[in-house]
Amino acid sequence: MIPELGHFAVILALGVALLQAIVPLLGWRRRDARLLSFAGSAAQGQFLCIAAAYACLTYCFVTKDFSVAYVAENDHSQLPLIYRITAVWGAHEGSLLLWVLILSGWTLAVSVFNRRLPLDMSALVLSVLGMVSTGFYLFILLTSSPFTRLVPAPAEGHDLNPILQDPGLAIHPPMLYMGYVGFSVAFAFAIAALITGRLDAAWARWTRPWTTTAWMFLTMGITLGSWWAYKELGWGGWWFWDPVENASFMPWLAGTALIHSLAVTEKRGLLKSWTVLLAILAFSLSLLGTFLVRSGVLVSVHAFASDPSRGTFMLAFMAVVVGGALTLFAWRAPKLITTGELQLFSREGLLLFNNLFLVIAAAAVLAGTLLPLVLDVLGITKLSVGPPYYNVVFLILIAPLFLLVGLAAVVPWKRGDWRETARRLKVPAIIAVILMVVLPFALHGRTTLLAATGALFGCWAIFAAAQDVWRRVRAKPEWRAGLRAVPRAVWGMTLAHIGLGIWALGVSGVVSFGDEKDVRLARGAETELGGYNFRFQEAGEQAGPNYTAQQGTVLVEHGGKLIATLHPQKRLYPSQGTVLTESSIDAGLMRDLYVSLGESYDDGSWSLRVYYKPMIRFIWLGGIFMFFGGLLAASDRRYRLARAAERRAIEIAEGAVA
Amino acid sequence: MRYTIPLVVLIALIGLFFFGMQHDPRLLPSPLIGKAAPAFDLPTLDGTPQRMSQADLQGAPVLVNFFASWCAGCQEEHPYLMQLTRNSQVKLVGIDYKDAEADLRPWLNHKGNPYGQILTDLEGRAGIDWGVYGVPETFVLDAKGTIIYKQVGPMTPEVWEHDIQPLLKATS
Amino acid sequence: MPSDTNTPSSPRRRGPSFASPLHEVQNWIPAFAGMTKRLGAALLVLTLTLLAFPAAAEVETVHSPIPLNEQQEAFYKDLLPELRCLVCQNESLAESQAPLAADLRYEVRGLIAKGQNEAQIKKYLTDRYGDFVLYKPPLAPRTWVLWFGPFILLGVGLGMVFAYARRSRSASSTSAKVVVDQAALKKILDEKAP
Repeated sequence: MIPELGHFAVILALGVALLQAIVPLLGWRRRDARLLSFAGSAAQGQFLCIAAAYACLTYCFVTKDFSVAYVAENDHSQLPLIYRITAVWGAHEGSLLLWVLILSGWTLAVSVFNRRLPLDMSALVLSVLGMVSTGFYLFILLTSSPFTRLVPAPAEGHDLNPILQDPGLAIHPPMLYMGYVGFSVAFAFAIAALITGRLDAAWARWTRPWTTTAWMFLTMGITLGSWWAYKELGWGGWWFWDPVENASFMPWLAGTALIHSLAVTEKRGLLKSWTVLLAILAFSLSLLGTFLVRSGVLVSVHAFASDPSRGTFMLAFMAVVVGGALTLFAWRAPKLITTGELQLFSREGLLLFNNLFLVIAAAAVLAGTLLPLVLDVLGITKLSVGPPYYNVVFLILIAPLFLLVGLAAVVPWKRGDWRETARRLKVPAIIAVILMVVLPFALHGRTTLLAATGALFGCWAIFAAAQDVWRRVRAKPEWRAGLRAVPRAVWGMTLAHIGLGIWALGVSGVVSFGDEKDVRLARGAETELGGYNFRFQEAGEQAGPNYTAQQGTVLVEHGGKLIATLHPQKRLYPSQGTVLTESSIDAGLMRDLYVSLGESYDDGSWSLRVYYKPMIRFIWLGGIFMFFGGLLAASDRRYRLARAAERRAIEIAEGAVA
Repeated sequence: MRYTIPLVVLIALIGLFFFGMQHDPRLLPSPLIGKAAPAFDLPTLDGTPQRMSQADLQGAPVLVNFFASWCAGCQEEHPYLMQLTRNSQVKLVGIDYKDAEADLRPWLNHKGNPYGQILTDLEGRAGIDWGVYGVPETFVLDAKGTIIYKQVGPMTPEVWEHDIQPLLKATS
Repeated sequence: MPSDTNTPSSPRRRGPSFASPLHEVQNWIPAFAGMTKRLGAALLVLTLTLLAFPAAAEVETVHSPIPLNEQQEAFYKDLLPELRCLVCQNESLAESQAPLAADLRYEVRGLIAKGQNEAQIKKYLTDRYGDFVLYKPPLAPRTWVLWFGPFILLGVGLGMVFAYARRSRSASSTSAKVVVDQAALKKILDEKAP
């Protein structure tokens, strides 16, 4: 009964979404305020429907209703409750339901917070979101319903893939979807702007907090995913340039470019059509990612080709949504007149360069992801594009961004002054150069080209960003008043840029000085890595809630002192007969010590993989800084307090157009 | 004009994906096609002759089938291989890949032996030289010992009739 | 991960728990499904379609390691991540737990011990498996778009930026009226939003 209710709720949501898409459009044509204001109610109704559907599916998982095919596939009676709740998004169908729930949540938020917008703009934005939702509801109902019954019902479920039974993974997909889906709001704003032709500073100001919020979730989602992969997969990697990772990274790059170009459009009224294109692009790349992941078009381990109808539907959906948007763009964008002068050495000029490098970096990632497919389709050859390509091309393309990030806070709008810029950046530059030389030696006792470059770029980004806040604080007589006087938006930018610097320090540190070792150790034997002694003490059985594990005990000593006891495991999940290695990590800000268990031998010895990972935490710390930077920027007071001002601004803008 | 560039790119991508979806991304074309069969020297299962090498594959077209008793795809194709060798003139050489003789013999006894000759590649070295990455894989060799076709995955009537037979006809 | 060093030289059997039928491995997590897949693939061992528990298990040959000197060992460590595993396809040979990857690691060590250089080893692998085995695509006409494309695009982009800046400077003198409107708009916005 409950699954049927859920299914029915999805159908209902589809109906409401259709109305939400069509009615406001009619209202806009007829200039009918009642029809326009229907959009908000529809958004709220749609959210209720899909939330009910989602609750139904969760209920099925919690109550272990194996008569539902999707539940039987991904649930198990032994599965701990928390993972029964997260298992809802444990595979294609349920994760799609989560996707539409989040999309509907964003729509709801738009309908609530956008009451200050002119009615027609807000209604059109909701209408576009309704169209996107409609597509996804159709996708669910036609190809991927999670509520399909299984007759006869099996006595036991197939279980959630054990690798997903991890807290990191429990929150990674929702975060990532918040980002992916969040770009749909910027997309909807862009479409509404193209339809109405109203694209001005006020529009950019409305769009900015939504975009920043989506971006910050995507940042967090990617960061969490990286951390999870590092800890869960047992070989110490944190980024693999896998096509599926690239699928999440391309929207991030486009979204980052969008955040910056929105600033230019808001402050200077420039780059209008470019900003609109980026807004379309960021969401299109999110859709592309979804398609690549779910269609099986790239190498995937699916033993049998994934259901071709899903790929076909997604492709058709993408063609309609993105094709429609770009057609509208080709038709309307030439009419968006941009006025005002652009000096290359000004904040807007530098942001334009920032956009160029980010977009081309995204293009390089896209080329690397898709070229194998192109060559295969053309029947030329089958080749691989992996880390050796990206590490070269991508790094060359983003290196200039580090120079720019330091200049960003210092160079003013409209026209920069070389001498003033040099004067203010002198101190950060000197600090960065000194640390370039000193830092690798101080931390690791030696240096490499990469480590020095990373220290230079990282310290430059950090200190150049910090000096801006420092200068603002110093401008006030009292430091607490000074701190308060710094707007949140500036804090946000500063934190995000510092995060980038921290990230660079982490990457260059771990790549330059990280070390690893494969060893086979008998009981009591030890091995040395990175100045640490790893002694393999014993291995024994350990029982978990739904698995049994072989657990090793490894004592780590440094300078004759015991500093950590690690327990790497090899788990057997009997429900699927899956064996997983569970690494054990002694985490520290400056270094991780990482041990994972390999194979056991008849004489009682084990093979182990031991890693020394200096500064790897900086990589995720950088992501966390960016996340909070985004949070501060998106919550800046001027977005909240500008209601009346915006209304007046709209009137003036409309007056100017008329 | 330049405002239509994104649309053109999109159309190209959609086309790419449309055709891309009809390809299996896992299948690898063999670089060995058109080349002589790689050298090997492997013991035979029945011991007559004791060992065989690539030279023994020349003289007539032959199918070289990498298989193993532990491999599910091999079970799947096995009945068809039986049928194929019963009904046609084709010579079938099996290379038993990383498989213990103690496992192989009962498997053959139970299911039947379609192979004219079985070579054992316990260590998988021949497999590497032939570029095998997942059994079953079947190579088609012409009379001169040149590889003219490779099938990854179970042999099926469709593959045999549509791809291999015409090739064999063309070469003979 | 059968390690390359210090492993026994007798053939061992892969336990049946490893050769379980791989149930549909989720590839839904947008960012990291790749890794999920890798792990799944590692468990999938050698076959694309393991439909049922196999009656027998694959013989896994574990060789005693080929000793390398320090320089060769460093070369080996650098080279391995550039080679792609054929079985689990989204992992490098360094990471893969598949038996074929272990065999290939052994072969690569052997080739290094024989004094072969990077080009020779890569040729050894591409002769057998094609370009697919290399994570670093070779520089050839078919990959020009990959290696040069982004930089050509960067050149075009830079040209467009400069042209845009020049155009905006010459156009700005003619559109003074709208500039005034923008300024008025900004002023009001800034007044109300401290």
